[in-house]
Amino acid sequence: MLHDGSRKARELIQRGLEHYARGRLREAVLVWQEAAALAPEDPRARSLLAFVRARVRERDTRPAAHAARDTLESPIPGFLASLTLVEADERASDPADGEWGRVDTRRVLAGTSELAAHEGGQDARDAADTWKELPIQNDDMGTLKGFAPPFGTPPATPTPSLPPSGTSGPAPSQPHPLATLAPSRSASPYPPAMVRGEQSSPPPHATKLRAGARGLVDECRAALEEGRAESAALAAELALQLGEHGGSPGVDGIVDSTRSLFERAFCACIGDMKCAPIGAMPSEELATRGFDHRAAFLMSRMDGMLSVGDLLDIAGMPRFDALRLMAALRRAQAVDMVPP
Amino acid sequence: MAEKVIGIDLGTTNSCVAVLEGISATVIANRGGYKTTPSVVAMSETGKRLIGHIAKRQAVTNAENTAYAVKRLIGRPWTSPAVQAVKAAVPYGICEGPHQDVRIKLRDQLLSPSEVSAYVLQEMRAIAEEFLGQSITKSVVTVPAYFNDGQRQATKDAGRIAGLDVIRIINEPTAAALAYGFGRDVEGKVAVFDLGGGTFDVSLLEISNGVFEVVATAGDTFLGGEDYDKRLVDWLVQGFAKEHRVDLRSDTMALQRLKDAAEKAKCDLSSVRETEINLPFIISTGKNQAYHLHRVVTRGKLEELTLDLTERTIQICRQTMEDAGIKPRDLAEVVLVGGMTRMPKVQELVAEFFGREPCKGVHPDEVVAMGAAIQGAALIDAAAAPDMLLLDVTPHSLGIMVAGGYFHRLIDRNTTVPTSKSHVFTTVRDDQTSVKIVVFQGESDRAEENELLGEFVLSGLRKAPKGEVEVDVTFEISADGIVGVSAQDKETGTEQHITVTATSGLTEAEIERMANQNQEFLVSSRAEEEVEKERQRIEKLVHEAEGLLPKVEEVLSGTPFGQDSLDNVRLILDDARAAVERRDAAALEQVAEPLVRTLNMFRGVVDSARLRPP
Repeated sequence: MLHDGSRKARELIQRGLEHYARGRLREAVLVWQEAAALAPEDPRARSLLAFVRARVRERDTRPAAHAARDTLESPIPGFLASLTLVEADERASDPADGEWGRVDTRRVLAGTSELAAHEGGQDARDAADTWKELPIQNDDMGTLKGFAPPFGTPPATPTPSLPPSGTSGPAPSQPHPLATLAPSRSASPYPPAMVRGEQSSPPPHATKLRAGARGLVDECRAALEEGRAESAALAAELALQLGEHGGSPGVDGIVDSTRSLFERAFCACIGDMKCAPIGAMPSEELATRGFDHRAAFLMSRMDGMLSVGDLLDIAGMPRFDALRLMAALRRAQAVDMVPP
Repeated sequence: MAEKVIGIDLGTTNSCVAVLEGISATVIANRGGYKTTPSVVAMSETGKRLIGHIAKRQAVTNAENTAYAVKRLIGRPWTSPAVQAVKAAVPYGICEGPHQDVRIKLRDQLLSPSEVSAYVLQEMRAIAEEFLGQSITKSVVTVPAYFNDGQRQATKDAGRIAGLDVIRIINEPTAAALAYGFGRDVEGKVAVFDLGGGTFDVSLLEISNGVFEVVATAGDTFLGGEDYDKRLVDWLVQGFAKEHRVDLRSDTMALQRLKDAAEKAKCDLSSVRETEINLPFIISTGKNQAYHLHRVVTRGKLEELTLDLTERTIQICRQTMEDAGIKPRDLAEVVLVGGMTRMPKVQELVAEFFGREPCKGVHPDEVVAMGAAIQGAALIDAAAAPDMLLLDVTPHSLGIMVAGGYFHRLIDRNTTVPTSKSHVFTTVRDDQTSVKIVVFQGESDRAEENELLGEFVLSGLRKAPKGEVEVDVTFEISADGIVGVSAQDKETGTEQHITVTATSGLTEAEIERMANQNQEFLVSSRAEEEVEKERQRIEKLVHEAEGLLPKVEEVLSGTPFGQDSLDNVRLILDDARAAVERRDAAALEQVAEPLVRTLNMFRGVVDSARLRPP
C-alpha cells in the first residue's frame, strides 16, 4: 500500500513533468524538490532533478558559438531556449543550489546572440539571429486544450497562420511541439561522433542524463501501471526526445530497450484501437498549432470511419512513429474518438 | 428467407453493388457510407490485406504494394501488349505466371489478377451481406463489352475465389440500358458513353424485342478520371514549385494528400464554380518550417487543363459512329455512365456531339450495378422482370482461318447460345491430303488480329485437284459456353475435333486452392478479430481491477488472510497482463474466469468498505 507521502510525491512528479514539458523548469524543479523531500526513498524525483541540471550543465560546457549553431539545427530548439531562460531565473532565485549557481551568465538568451556573433563570425551571427527567433513565452498554452508539447515552449506571438487565400507559403520560423516529434538524428545538435558514441570520453554529466532517462522510463512504467495513460505517454515522449537529442552515450540504449513499454504507453493514451479518430480542429486552427507535415498527413487520413488500427496500417510511417504521433495528437485534443 | 442475387459492377477504378428490392434496384453503401468502393487492394507492412477506401488512402505512400486497375490485366496473357503497357505504367510489380499468364507482386505474395479481383468482389459481397443480413452466394457481374472469353472466364474465376457463384456475366452498356428500363419503353439504337475512373468506352446498342445487341464498341483503357486528377495535381505541383522551388512529388505523403485533394476538388467543381484546396503543412522544409498549400481552383481552370482529354472521348465516339455507319440522329437515347460524366464540360460536349441531352435519371456511377441487379433478379425469378427477354449470347464472333490469312466467321457475335453452325470448305492446293483447322475468336477480318482459341489437323484426305475435296466444319456452343469445333471429310467420313473452353490462365486446381486459401484467410481474420475483442475485454477488466487494487490492499492488509489473498490476486493480474501483452487466445481464455472472479471480489470489498461506518 502506498502511504500518503508516496502518493503525494507521485502527483508532484507528474505535475513537475507537466511544468517541464511546458518549459516551466523552475516550477518543475520546485515540485520535484518537494517530491524528493516527501518520498526520499523514491529515486524518480531525484533523478529528474539531476537530469535537468545535467542538461543545463552540459550545454553550459560547450562553446557558445557551437551552442548557437547547434540550436539552429536542433530539432528541439525550444528546449534549449527554455533551459537558457531558466538558467538565468534559477541563478537569481535559487542561489543555494550550487550547480545552478555556476551557470555562466553569458549563456542567457539575450547575451547569446552577441556572444555567438563575437565568437563565430558570420555563421555564428546567422545562428544568433535564429536564437532571437526562438520562442520565449508559453503563455498561450492554455489555448491548446491541454496539449503538452513534448519539449520546448509553444509558439510565442505571432503564431503560425495560413497565408491569405490564393497564396501558399512557409509557416513562420517557430519551433513547434509536434515539429519536434519526428526522429531527426541527422539534425542532432551534437557532432556525429558524439551521437554515435565514438568520442574518447563521455560528455560531462552523461551519468546524470542516463539517470534522467531512467527516471522518465520509471515514470512511464509507473504511470502506466496506475492507469495514468496521458502521463505515461508524456514521459515516453520526453524520454524518446532525450534519446533522439543525442549527446549522451547510453541514453539511446535505455530508450531503445524500452520501446515496447513506450508503445504500450502510447496505445493506452490513444485508447481503444477500434475507435475511429476524427479531426477536432479546423485546418485554420491546426495551422496555428504548428503541426508538422507528418502529423498533418496522419490527420488528413482520419475520417471518423477508419479505426486507429486502420490508420496505423496506412500511416506511411513505422507503426511506432504513428502511435507516438497519434498519442501526441490525442494529448493535444486535436482529435476526437468515434466509438466503434 | 428468399435467395437474393446481387449485381456487381466490377470497375477498373471503383466497384459498386446493388440488389433488387421490390421493383427497384437499390445500390448498397459500404461501411463508410459510400456507394462505390475503390477497386484497390494493398498489403500493409504487417501483411494485413487492405481493400477499398483504406487501400486507396495509402496508395501513394505504399505504392509498390498497392494493386489498382487490375481489370486491365485480368484474363490477359503475359505477352499481351495491354499487359506490357500496364507494367510500364504502374508502380506495383507484375511478372509472368506459370501458364504465361500474369501475376501481381504484393509484398511477398504473388497473386493472379483474378485473385486480386476476388478480394474486391469479396468486399462487395460483405457489403451486401451486412446490408441484407443474409448470406449471399449468387451474383451477376458486369464486364466491358470488348472483353473476350478469357477475360470473362477470369472474372467468373474471381467470383469463385471470392465464394460467389457468378450466374451471369453481362456487358456493362447492356446493364446500363437495363437500368434505364430500355427494352420495355425504348427500342432502337442507344449510345452508352462510359467515362470511368480509369477507362473510357463508348458502345452502340441495338435494342429490339427485349434483346440487347452490342453493335459497336470502342474506347481507351488508359483514359479516365485519374487522368483528370493528374492534370490538376500537375498544375498544383508546378505552381508550388514555381513559388517555393520545392517539388511536392518528392514527398509521398504530400503527393498522397495532393491526389486526394485534387480528386475531391474535381468532384466539387461538378456542382460549384470554384473550390479551395487547402493543405496546411503539406511539406516540411527540414528546418522546423513547413509550407502550406492553399489554392483556389475554378471550374474554368479544370476545364482548360483537361479539355484535350474530354475532346479525345468525343473523337473516339465520332470514329465509332462512323465505323458502325450510324449517325447521331439515328440514336434513340444517349446514356451516361461513370462518375466523370458528372463533369459539366463532359456533358456539354456529349450533348453537342450527339445532338441531344443525355439521360441523367440514374447516377452514372451506380447505373451499371443496378442493371446487373435487375438481371440477377430476373434470372432467379422471371416475375421480377416479366418483360425482359434474357438470353445468353456469345460476345465475339467465332470462326476459322482460311487461305490468305483471312478470318471466316461461322458464328456471329451476339448469337444466342446454345447454337450450332456448319460450313463446307474445300482444299486450296492440288493433291492436298490434310487441312489445318485454326480456330479464332474476334471481329477482325484478318485472322491473326483475333484471338487464337485452338487448332487441329484433319488428315487422310483423298488426293485430288484443288477445290474438289470438301470438308464440313461445324461449330457448336453448349449452354455452358463450351465451344466444340469438328471437321469431317465428306467423302470418307473421317472426323477430327477439339473442345475449346474459355480459360483465364488459371487451372482448376489453382482456382480451387485460391478459393480455399481465401476462405481460410477469412476464417482466420474473424478468429483474430475475436481474439482482439477478448483481449480488449480482458485489458479493460485488468484496468478496472488495477484501479480498485489500492483500496482492496488497504482493506485486506489488516485481515488474517489478507496477504495471501493479495498475493493470489496479484498473480492473477500478472497472468492477465501477460496474456493481454502476448495476444494469446488460449492464455486469454485461461485468465478470463479467475480475473472476473477477482474483479467481483474487489468490487465487493470496495462496496462493503464504503458502507462500513467510519
